[in-house]
Amino acid sequence: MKEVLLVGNPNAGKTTLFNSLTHSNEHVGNWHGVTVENKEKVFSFGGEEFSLIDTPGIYSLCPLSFEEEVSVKTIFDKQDRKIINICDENNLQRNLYLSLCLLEKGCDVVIAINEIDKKPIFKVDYAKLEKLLGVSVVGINAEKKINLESLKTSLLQNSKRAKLPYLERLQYFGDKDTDFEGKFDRFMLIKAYERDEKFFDRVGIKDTCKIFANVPQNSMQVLSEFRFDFIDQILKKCAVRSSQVYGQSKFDKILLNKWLAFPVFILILSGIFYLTFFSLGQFLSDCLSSLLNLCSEPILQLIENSFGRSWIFDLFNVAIFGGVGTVLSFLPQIVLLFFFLSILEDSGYMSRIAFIFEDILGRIGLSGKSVYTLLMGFGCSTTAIMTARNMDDKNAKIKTALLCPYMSCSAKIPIYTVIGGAFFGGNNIFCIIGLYILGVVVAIAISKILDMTVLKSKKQSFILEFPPYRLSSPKRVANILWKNVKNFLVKVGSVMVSMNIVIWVLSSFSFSFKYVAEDGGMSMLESFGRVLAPLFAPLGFGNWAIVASLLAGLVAKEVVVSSIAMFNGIDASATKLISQSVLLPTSVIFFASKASVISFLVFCLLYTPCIASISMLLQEVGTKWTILSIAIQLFCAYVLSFVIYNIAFAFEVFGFAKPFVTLVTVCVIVVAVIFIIKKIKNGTCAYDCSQCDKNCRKKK
Amino acid sequence: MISLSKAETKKVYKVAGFNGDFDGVTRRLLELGFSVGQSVKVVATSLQKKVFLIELRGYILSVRASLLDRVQVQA
Repeated sequence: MKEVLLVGNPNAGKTTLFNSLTHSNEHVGNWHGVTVENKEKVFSFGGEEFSLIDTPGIYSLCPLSFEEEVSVKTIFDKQDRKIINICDENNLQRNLYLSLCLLEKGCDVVIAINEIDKKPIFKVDYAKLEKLLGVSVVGINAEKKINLESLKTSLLQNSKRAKLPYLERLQYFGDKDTDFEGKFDRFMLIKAYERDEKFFDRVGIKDTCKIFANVPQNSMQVLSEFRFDFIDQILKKCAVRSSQVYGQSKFDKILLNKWLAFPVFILILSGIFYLTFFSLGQFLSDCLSSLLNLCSEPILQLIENSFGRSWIFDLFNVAIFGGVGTVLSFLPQIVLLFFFLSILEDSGYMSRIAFIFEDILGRIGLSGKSVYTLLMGFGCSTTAIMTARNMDDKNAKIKTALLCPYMSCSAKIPIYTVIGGAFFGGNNIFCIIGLYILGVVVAIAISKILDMTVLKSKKQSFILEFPPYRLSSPKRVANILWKNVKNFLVKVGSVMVSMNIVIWVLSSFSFSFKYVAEDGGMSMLESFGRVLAPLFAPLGFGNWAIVASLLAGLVAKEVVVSSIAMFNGIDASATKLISQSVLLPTSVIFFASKASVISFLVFCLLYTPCIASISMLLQEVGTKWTILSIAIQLFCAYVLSFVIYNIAFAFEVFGFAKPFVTLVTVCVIVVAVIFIIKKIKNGTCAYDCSQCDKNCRKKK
Repeated sequence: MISLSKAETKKVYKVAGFNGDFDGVTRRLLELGFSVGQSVKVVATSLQKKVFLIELRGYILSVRASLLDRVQVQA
């Protein structure tokens, strides 16, 4: 089987081409850095099988960020492979820059020029370009699958040698054999001009000082200008350029306006949440709930007729239809959230959001690019953590990954809707928005603390290309919907069914394996939950069953609601029934006050994420940071729930005025104390400011 | 000659040279198309002027102001 690498600039359409060639459905987006790891799949053509490897986007063979390193390492490790170098027709100069880097390396390249838009900025004569470069050039449309047969045919052809006359002008002033330790070739000279220390480290040449001293001082600039001059020369002969500016839009006058950018962003996000949690999402969820009840009734009837009202009936009635069915009814809301996030990704607005937030995030040691990861965290923390790879500083990458679990993921939607809805009714939207904001605020505070202590970031090199605004194609919308429906159903069918059965067994049988659900004996879960429950009493929910549901939520957050449904004996997939049950003092899980509900929701928002997210954290940031992350999450969840519970409880007991005045007084005292401490610190500074390298307030 | 981070919005400049070390970040600026004699224009800035939108070689790029200190331009 022949291996083929798919290489190109970020956002050139690599994954779209990968999907089209291999009939896959990998994640794509109109944004820099969507692909952060290699993906491999097989396709066949002309009686041969090809293994196509999709790589993250790069600008050259000198990586700057972690995902770029993945690509460059793949290119160097698989040198004899054919490479499809996909270039965006709208930004041909910069895309061809990478093509030249690959050709200089001697790679066997086929250039595929992707015609994304109907009115491209460059109109290219491909035959002429092929002749001028000396390698195969094919014009394609990756999304509409136009001309892919020609591209596949060119993969079967023998490799061609590119003509790169500017390389003759590169000079080395020292002794090549000694300086390059006997490994000298033309590509080494190019790398010496690029001053690529990582490359020389990879090939085992340690002393690069001598090498770099024997090329011009501004060698990087010289080589870059040689390449761009060459590109300009060939494009003059084979392409016509329009006066349009790629990525510029009149919408940016509003969306990037200094004063309107943030309100517009908040408006868009609020609109998404409103449509997802209420109006459309709520309507679709209710419809699905009714449908599930209609389907479950005849099945339960059949089981009852066959086995009577035994433990088997209870298992299906409570664990499967009650627990899992309830979570299943949230399918429309979860899919809607992913759908809106994908629309945002495709639109090109993500790059604009990164631009808007760079000012703020730069202050807490992150980059505007972190916004993408954090927004994806609203969908699923597990996938979001992986996207932190597009950071180019290790500490910023760790910080961004650690902050993902604080973004309220879609799995928490059922908890907020069912439990919050029971106590706040129509006002629950404010409670939900409040929880989302709290997650963001806690994430910002933790990032700032980490930046000041153990994870200080060096200055991020925030450089981001602006893509044009685009609409998602209907096919892509259908793909997004199907992919998320499938993922959710698989999760419900595997993790949640098995977890609910485990919880049902633990809550229905005693340690002597006696069925205790009917005679009121103490189950295994109850025994265990009662040991831990006193720990949670200061948070307002020291109930063994609530503690058990939180423990079950470690597997997947949706299980929290399904286990509440089970404990309260809900035997239908109706969220309203669960909401009503948590209000009844006779229920196993019962919340005595609004204060304890708010405290419980805050704890659910902030405590340890699901197992899938933890394993992704382990993979991306290592054991030490994962353990620290879990410790911080548990600490934050406990402390904030405790504080919020007591404040809310005071409001409930004493009314609004007294607690409010007390709260304001405490805040004023805290601010005053911090201010005085800072004053004293600056006033007693022993250093001479002109010699001190500390960046303190006094110096400023 | 001024650094690009001090350039006026909407005014076209030409890249005149580079300041500071030739490190990975300067290399990235070069790869993206900043080269001597190339026309550049500041299209917009963020609220605190810490990020700039630059028009370069017919496309739009957002770059942190501290990085643009490295690029010298003249009107």
